[in-house]
Amino acid sequence: MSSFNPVHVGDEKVLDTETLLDIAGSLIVVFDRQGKIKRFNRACESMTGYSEQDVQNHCVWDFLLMPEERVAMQGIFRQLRGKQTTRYYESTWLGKAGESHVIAWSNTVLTNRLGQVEFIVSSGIEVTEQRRSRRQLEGQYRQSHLLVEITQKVRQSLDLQEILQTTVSEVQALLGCDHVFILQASLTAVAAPIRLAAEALTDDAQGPAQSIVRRPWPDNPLLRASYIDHYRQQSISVIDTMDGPGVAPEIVAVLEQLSVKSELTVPILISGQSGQSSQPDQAELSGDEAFWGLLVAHQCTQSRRWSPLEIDLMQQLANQIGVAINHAQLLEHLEDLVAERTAELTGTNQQMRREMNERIRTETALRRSEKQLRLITNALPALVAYIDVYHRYRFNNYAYETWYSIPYEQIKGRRVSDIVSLSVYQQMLPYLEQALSGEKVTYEAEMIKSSGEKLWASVSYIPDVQEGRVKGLFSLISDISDRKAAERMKDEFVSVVSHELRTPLTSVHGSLKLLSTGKMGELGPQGQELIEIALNNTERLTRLLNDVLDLERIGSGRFSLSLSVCSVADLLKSAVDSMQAMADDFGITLNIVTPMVRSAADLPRVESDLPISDLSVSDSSADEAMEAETVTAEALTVWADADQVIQALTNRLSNAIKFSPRGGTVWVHAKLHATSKPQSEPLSDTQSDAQSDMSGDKVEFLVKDAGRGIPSDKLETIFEKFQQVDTSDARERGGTGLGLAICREIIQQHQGRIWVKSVHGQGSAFYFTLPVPVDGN
Amino acid sequence: MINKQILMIDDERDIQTVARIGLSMMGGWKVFTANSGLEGIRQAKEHALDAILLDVMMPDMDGVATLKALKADLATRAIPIIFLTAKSRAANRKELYALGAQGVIHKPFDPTTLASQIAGFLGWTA
Repeated sequence: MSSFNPVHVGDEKVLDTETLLDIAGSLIVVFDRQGKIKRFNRACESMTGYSEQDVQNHCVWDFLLMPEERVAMQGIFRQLRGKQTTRYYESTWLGKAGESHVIAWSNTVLTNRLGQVEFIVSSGIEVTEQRRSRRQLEGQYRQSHLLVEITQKVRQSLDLQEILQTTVSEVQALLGCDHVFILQASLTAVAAPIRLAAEALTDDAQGPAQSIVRRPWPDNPLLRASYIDHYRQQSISVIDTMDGPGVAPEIVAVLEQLSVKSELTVPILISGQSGQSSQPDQAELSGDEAFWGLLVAHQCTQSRRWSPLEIDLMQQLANQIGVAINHAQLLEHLEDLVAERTAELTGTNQQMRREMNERIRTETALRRSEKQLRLITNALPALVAYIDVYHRYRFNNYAYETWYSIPYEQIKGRRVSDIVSLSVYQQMLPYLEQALSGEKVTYEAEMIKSSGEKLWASVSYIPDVQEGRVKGLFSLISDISDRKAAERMKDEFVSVVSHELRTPLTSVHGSLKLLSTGKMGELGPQGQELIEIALNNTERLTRLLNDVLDLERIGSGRFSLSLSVCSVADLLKSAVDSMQAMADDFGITLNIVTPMVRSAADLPRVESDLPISDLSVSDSSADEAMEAETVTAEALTVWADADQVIQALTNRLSNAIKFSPRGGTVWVHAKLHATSKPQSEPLSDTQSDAQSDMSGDKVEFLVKDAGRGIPSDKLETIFEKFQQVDTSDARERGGTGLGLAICREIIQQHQGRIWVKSVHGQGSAFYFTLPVPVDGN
Repeated sequence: MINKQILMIDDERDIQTVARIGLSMMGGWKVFTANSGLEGIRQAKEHALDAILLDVMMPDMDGVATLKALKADLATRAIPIIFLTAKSRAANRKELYALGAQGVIHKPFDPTTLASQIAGFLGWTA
């Protein structure tokens, strides 16, 4: 202390400086101009643990100052010596125990009489606590700021990976940890149950704090289920040092393996029904939470005491991560829904595209088909067209164009009435309507071409029925003028042949007939026999001629029936009357069974339904049976051409007479059928034309004999032309083999049905049906 | 069936002959013959006829035209006319009746029963 002079104000010593220094609460240090400590007051001793003696004549930068501040402090002293007063600065001293003290200094320089700086007096106040508090506040602010940032990110960002990565990076920077990472525990995967979701390391991390990525599962103990399972049930785990209380040995083993000194672990919980709940925040509030993974901070360089603030920050961040995961999973769910809906829309779109393509293909094919159809139909001489339900042309071939002298483009789409003349349209209209009602129509008509040429045409309208609805009709028109001319020629030929053959036949037959009477003089027996032969053969020739001409006439399709309401009784009587002479010649009794009217519901067994074995029933029993069933006779009528029906009946009677044994009976019978079906199916029969049978009420005619019958193998062909049971019949019985063919033609013209039941050796029963008049006709 | 006078109009002489012999032999009738419709009309006015047998198909003036001419003439209108036709049996029977014929006989006819056929049509009894 001797070297230190008291403070003078002028020449007067005003204060005992020793006392002043010791009582001062502030830190006061007096330096000489070299920076050596001359005085070190009690406050300084108390704070640093050094005595004044310990530090006297040592420079402050020799040991008191933190090494990094020493150079700066020497600079400050140089300035002070040059009277450049540094009024205020802070420095950090190291105490004897190694502790640091932050001190705020202010300096005063004392000069000698020469004005040179003699001493430097520094007074200071320790601000260590203030600075620590400030740093703490700053840390808190940064933590809060980070939390807000991450929370905003969680609320705003939809990228979970980005959120997780931001979190670990920020936490690592904020807490100054060596290694921060997030592990995700898988609930289902067996092979790799733990996944590293994100991690962040210090820039200069070497050695211990190595990236988990560099040590993948299963070598990395952090990625083993045992590690993560340890924390599954814990809310938070704080390990300051490995030897701290309550640290599980298995965790210590893992952490020491990775040279981890301190660990802070926070579980990440998510809404229990995550991915299904649409309100993750509500699930979080409800406490219905599930373990998702861990947020972990490691300190490897040295052990660390985790502050409550840090722990709280980690906890809050883990919560926010949970929310973010819920959002992400919800988003994923939404994305799934969107993807699903998108897939649906894509599918629909593709379907529509396919349908459109299909439609285009169909239309193209249709156009190609129409083109081909036109090419084909253009080669046809017939007029081919398609007419829709509005009577508009949709298609026509070239023949149509030439017929009407109108180009295709001007026909297609136009109405029929615009193309054909009014008279032709009126003529065709009923047929058009008939075809558009679904019925195929064919008719012949005389038409006039655009050139004025008259033609006979055969017109067919075929309805186009699709799914039960008529869409239009196909019209086929053929020029049949040549056929008509041929028909006319044929008619003329038939007429001429008929006349020219009959005329000489009449003379020959008449002459022979007169000669055969013997009134011209008696001939010898041989002469008489020859006359008979000539007569028989002229009659046979006449029958043949008549039958051929009849068949041609009826079967030509140009023959029209002269239909009227006919009494069945009259028809039967006329036929029997005309055949009576022949029956007499053959010794046959013709028996008309009175026509019967009966109800369809109560049709008793009648003769026509008798089994074939009953065909030989005696006259009397048959008569009695039938008469007993008679209701009325006069009312029974048919809608028919009387002459034609009589011809059919006489034909059948003639046959029955010819083939019955002398003294036998031929029965003729008719009855009403109120249904369209045959009353009973015969045991052995043939039906000439079941399809043409009319529906509704009808009268069934029967001509039955007890003659030789027809063998079963002949039943099928008996209705064909020139078919006879025995080929000798033509000679012996004067048959032509055309009678049944004519009968069939006549009955079919009436929309009736003809068939036969026969048992060889017992007799035959020929049936045919005719329609009864409907609505007075 | 005696004392009947019949006119047979047919362009075929052979048929005329057969009919004539048949009617005279079997019925004892007097038969006039004509080869054409015109000649038939003329003869119809000359004779007191009970009936005319008229062939349908004849050259120049056929049976239908001849019938119409006969029916148009007061002198011949009342004479019953029976057609003889070589056409098929049922073909034009109705048309011929509709024209006013009393009967239709198809060729070839039986000359031995011709008289009774005509009598049957006209309601003549013995």
